[in-house]
Order: sequence, then C-alpha cells, then structure tokens
Amino acid sequence: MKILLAEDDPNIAKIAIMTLEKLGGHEVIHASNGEEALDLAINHDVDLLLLDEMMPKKNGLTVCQEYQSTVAQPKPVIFLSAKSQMEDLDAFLTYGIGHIAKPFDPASLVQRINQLLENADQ
Amino acid sequence: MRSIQGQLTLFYLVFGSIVAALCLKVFENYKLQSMAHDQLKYGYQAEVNIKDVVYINKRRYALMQLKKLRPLLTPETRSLALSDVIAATNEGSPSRIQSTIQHFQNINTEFKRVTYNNLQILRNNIEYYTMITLGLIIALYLGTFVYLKQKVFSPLHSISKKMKDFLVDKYTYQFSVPPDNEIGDLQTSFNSMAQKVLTQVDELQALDSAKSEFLSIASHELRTPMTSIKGSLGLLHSGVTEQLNEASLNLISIAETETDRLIRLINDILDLSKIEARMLDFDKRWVNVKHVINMTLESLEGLANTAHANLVRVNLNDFYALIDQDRIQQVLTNLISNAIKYSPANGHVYVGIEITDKGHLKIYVRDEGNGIAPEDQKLIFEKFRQATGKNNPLVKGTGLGLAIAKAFVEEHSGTIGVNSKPGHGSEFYFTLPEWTDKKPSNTEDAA
Repeated sequence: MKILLAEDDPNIAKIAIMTLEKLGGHEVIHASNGEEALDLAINHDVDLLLLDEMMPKKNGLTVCQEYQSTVAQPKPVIFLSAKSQMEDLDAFLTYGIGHIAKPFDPASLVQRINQLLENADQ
Repeated sequence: MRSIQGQLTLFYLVFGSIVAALCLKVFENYKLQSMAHDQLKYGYQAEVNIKDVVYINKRRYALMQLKKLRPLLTPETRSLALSDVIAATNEGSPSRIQSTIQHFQNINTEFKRVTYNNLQILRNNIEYYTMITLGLIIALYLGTFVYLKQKVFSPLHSISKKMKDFLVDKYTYQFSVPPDNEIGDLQTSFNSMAQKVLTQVDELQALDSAKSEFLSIASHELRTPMTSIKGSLGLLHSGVTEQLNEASLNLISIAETETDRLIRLINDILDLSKIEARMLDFDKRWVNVKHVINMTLESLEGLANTAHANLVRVNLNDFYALIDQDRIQQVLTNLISNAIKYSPANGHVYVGIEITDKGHLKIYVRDEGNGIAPEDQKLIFEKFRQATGKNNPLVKGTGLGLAIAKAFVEEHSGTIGVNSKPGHGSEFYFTLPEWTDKKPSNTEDAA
C-alpha cells in the first residue's frame, strides 16, 4: 500500500516512516507541511493519507477538505493528532475515516490503520 | 435630619409632646370637674347647716360647721354671703338672719346653675381630648408601622434578596441610588464589598485561565517529544533495526513503561486543565448504569488477574441515570483500578449500587486493603496527592485520577467520597442525583 504521510516534526516523521515501511511493509511518501502534502496527494497515486492536524502553512483538516474537493475519487484519510477535544474528534470522523492519537505505539499504529480501513470498507 | 433613627426620634418627640399636652389637658379638666363637685358638695352642706341656724338648740353645732365651710367656699361672693349669715346669727336678729340666708341661697342657686353648665362643658372637653389623644396614638402606631415598612423592612428584604442572588452567581448586586440613611449605608457597604469580591473573582479567573492555558500548551508541547520517544522505543523493541539481547530488551521495557506513565500524567494534566478551564463538553444521556459497570469490570479483568484480586458484583440491578457514559466509565475505571492496586493478594473488590438517604443513586467500590488514615481521606481528592503512609506501598499513579474523578462526578451534580478505617479496607463511592429504575424511553444502549 502506498501511503502519504504529512508530518512536520522530523523525528516523528522518521519514526512513522520506519514503522510503516519496516513493520507494515508499506511504501511511504513524506510531506513536511500542509501545502506540500496537498501537492503530493493530488499528483501521486496514493492509497491512504495520514495527515498530522497541526502543520505549518495548512493544517490537516484544510488539506483534507481541499484534497477531497479537487480529486474525483479521493482515497481514505486518517488524522494523526495530539488533540483530543470532542469537536476535533467529530471533525476527524466527518472528513476522514478516523484518527490516531499521539503519542502512538509503532506496533499499534500499523494495526490501527488496518482496523480503520476495514471499518471504512464495511 | 435624614437618618431613620433621627427621623423617628424627631417624629416621636413632636407626636409625644402633643400627646403629653393633650393628656395634661384631660387631667386638668378632670381636676376642674372634681373641684366643681367639691364646691357643689360644700354648697349643699352649707345650705343644710344654714337651715339649722334658726333652731336655737342646733345653732351652736351648725355655726361651727358653717365656720369650717366658709374658707373652703368659692367664689368669694358665696364665702362673703356665708360670712353675713354667720355674723347675723351672732347678732341674733331673726329678720336679718332670714335675709342673709335668703341672700346666700340666691347666690348658691346661681352658682349651682353656672356650675352644672360648666360641668357639662368639662365633660365634653374630657371626651373630646380623650378621643383626640387615642386617635393620635393609633395614628402614631400606624405611621410608625408604615414608615418602618417603607424605610426599613422593604429595603432590608431587597438587600437580603440581592445578597442571596449574589451567592447564586447573578452578580446583580448594584443598588443604583442608595438613600441617605442607615439602609443606604448598608447598601453602599454592600456595593463596595460586592465590587471588591467581583474584582478579586475576575483576578482569580484571569489567573486561573492563564494557568489552564499554560497547562494546555505545555501538555501539547510535551506530547510531541513523547511521540518520538515512545515511537523510537517501540521500533527498537520490535527488532526492526537489529535483534537485541535480553538485557537490552529489559532496559527498553523499563523505558517504555516509564514513558507510558509520563504520557498518562500529561494526559491527566491536560484533562484537568480542560475541566478547570470549563473547556470540556459533557454529553449526558439516559444510560443503564449496570451496563457501564459491567463494561468497566470486563476491561479491568486483566489487571485484576495480574494483581490476584477478585472482582465481585453486588446488587447490580437495572438503574438508569442521566450521565456522560465515557466520563462515568473513566471515574469507575479509576476507582476500581485503585481498589485492585491496593488489594492484598486474593482480596476481593466489591462493586455495587445503593440508594442513599437523600434518594441519590450511589455506586460504590469496596476493597480489603489497608484503608486510609482519616487525615488523608480529604487530601486524596486533591491534585498530586496520594496516601503514602507506612502501611501503603507506593503505588505508581499520576496522583490526578481522583481529582479528575471528583471533577467529573461534580459535573453530574453528584458527590464523591471515601469511607475507610485503617486496617479495615476502604469504600470509595460517588452519587448521581438524576436516575430512575424504570427504563426511560430515550435510553441509550451502552456500547
């Protein structure tokens, strides 16, 4: 599976990429801000978008909304966020298929992605 | 004079003097009346004795009586007429005696006529002044009552109402134009007191929100490095870089456990700062409390097995309460996991439902641990407090769990508390005031 990871913190990005490639066996392309993420998402054929909520230039929710209104057949979106406010969680479920809370455990990150994709298929 | 005391004093002085003057008038008339009666009596006695003067055998005694009466008689004409009778009698001329007697009788008859008229006037006066006095006294009572009601009781009533309003957060404390009297002084003092309290409340709120904001930002900033640390440790543990030996894996496990603890602490601080900043929404629905308890107990089976504690359900009937299910489950998880942590090996943790004397639903968690010293029982619901007496092993926790539980329960208008005796275990409980044992139509099925 080809995953677009948008994460501005270089350390978290490095860990997430390693997790997704080594533990999940996925292919990862990485964006370090919201604009880059939108650009990559539109121009590359990815299977899943993993978007950090708080990013420079454009936040995750905005990237998601613009991506979904640009692309004919948008791919599923999962948010990565340290936010846990009710209204944030509601928005994550409205625009994406779910949300993974930071800090995450590498093993459960892979599991949770699979679980959310399965739920979305049903 | 604007003060109520001054006005009342002046009012009573003026009214009091008038009433006193009127009373004096009534008294004076009574005195005149009694003097007139005396004079009529003396006149009558004089007439009786005068008749006896003509009889030789009675003359001596009669003269003696007349001499006694003479100085008492008024007006002077009567007294002089009587003197003439006495003088004529002493002379002994019968014709002169007769004419002086006749003269006295004429004068006395005229006196009686005038006096009866005067008595009638006096009686009228007494009646008149008594009525006016009574009327004034009644007016004084009514006036005092109306005055006190208008100037004292009504303002006092409105002051106490405003004070009560102030206590229930209405803050409509301001008395616009305080009158220039004692009540006004009270209102002015209340205004400045309320102003001072409100200023301090504002300051405290500003301080509190600054603190909450700081906590919130700090917690968020803390989560980012925690993500890297936890992720790195997880990847090392999973062996994607290289296979590690057992000692290294042990060290990494310790680091992972402590990282998780630090993350829990950060989450708890964030939760509490949100509660304190009132940034947390509560989604209350009618839920079967039994199901919430069962779900919580199932999720804690693993912890209970590891700690060799037995979870026991007591009297778990269907009770429906208006709650935010996630938060109440968090409260229950906190209380039950605490009970498990402090349980002796093979001890029991009882979870049940009761109804309190006040008619609230009470959910309790009892353990067979060492109990909590009375001086610690209040403290443990405060932030960063744990009972760490010599009987209690230091159990790893954030010290925020009970403070969060307390805040959640209080958001449901309930109370949280503990009953414990050192050596006899503890009962932690919380109450929910809004509940029913009949299933409400809009009940959410716990899921």
